[in-house]
Amino acid sequence: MTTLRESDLQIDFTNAVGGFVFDQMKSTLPNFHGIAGMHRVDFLVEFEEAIVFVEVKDPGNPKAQAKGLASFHADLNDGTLSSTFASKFIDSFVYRWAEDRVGKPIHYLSLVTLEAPFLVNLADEIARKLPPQGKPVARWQRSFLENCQVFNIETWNDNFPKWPVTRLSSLTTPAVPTGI
Amino acid sequence: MISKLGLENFAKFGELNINFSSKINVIIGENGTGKTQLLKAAYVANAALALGNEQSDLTDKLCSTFRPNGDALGKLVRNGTPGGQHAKINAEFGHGQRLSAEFTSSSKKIKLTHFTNESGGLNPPIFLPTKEVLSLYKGITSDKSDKPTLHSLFDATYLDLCEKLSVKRPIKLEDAIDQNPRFGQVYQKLVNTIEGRFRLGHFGHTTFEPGRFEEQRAKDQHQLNTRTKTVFVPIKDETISAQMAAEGVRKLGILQLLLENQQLNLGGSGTLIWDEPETNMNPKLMRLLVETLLELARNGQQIILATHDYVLLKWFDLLADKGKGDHVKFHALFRNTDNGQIQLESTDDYLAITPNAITDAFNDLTKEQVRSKMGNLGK
Repeated sequence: MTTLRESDLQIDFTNAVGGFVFDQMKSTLPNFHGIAGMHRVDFLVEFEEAIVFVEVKDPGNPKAQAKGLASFHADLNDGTLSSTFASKFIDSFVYRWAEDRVGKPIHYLSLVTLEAPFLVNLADEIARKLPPQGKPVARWQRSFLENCQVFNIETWNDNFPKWPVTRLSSLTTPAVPTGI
Repeated sequence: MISKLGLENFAKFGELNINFSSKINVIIGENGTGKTQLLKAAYVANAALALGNEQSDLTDKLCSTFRPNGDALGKLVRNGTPGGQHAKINAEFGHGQRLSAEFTSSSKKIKLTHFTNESGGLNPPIFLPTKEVLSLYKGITSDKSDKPTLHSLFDATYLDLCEKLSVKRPIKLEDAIDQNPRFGQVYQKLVNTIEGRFRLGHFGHTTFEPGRFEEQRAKDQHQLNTRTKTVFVPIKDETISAQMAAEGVRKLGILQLLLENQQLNLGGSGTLIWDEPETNMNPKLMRLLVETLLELARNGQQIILATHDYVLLKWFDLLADKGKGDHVKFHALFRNTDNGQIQLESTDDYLAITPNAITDAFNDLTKEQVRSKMGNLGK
């Protein structure tokens, strides 16, 4: 099992064979990324049959600040958010390609605590900004990615029962320490 | 203003009780959960009570509105109701008016068990059906149209609405605007929203006159002082057939015409009931529609509508302003999986709508994409 945490949200990937925080910019910690100029997804998780890139955004955090929320919604409205999500996947893919670690089908799953109807729209918007931008390319021999989708806590848990998401602040007992 | 509606063994409902907001009520639910039936029941009860005991023939009104098989009243008893058991309708209104009625599967006439409209003041409701009516107006109101054919083609909601549209304006539009600033404000805003106004001419001929209300400086009669006056400024020679206007605009045009002839009388009309206003409406018009409905409600108009549309629902959530006294009540109809009965949950909080058939539809899209692209990963 791999347990990963981003602020108030924790995901237990119960059937993962490995995984770590990809967006690790502390040089003293394991898996230090080291290239600030590249966009980074939050987690990389590996399974027997696939690799999952995970990006987490939590506007639904009960402690979210008004200023941060306003900035998030502005980015959502003007398309900046989907562009950033697309860049995070592309740059993370390039980084992992350079590490020679992209040997399995890749899925890009985002956890964004928004209402369900927004998720479908946002996922389509991100997918349109990822190569090959929805266009068929006869010369390509393999898929860049298998699936790009956005979930909230409810739809994530509904679709991935082996990867439960927990909002830590909602737990009555002390939170499990951050682990990888 | 209808405050409560109770239905028992009626149409799709075993037992259903709903408390309405005096402002805006939004009914959601999957197909087959009885949204339109609920709207029609509220309409018939309001219409019958407004017409008065002597004038109303509730049996005919119910049958012409619901169109049961063979126009037989008994067919409106819920399937599976034991023989002899009554279907019941109970409706309560804002000033103590009340109507209760019942019938069985073998009844030919509905039995009124309670009818109170002593305080009077209850005006007829308006029902806007799913299909846009302006384009049907000429055919429905023409003397040459065969009445039995019309009645076989359209339920009473269509015919009633055309009748309301055909009522002549009681006073000149300019006078109405001068005399009633509240009306003037809502009416002018609506005209500017649809960027013109519809006209009903002779023989049911409908046209659309593009233009907008603008403030103009005008000299008073003594030519001494100038003052501003809001006047409709048409775009010259641009009048077009109403059929050429977008269907969504025609739907809003119905409101404009009903305001003009005071059938939609702010603070004085019966309930405005609208079945799926979003049908054939460009999603970009949805915000304007919701703004218009909120404006009507702010001016005393009770509204009940049914919708399948997330965009419409969300605009209500976003635009309702408690500071302006807005109140939107959401009513979710759903089928209880244990006993098959249609049930209702009501809430003032958009996020608390449960079950939300509209959100569920989006979740189904998510599930299908996961299924087709990820198989059993994570399961």
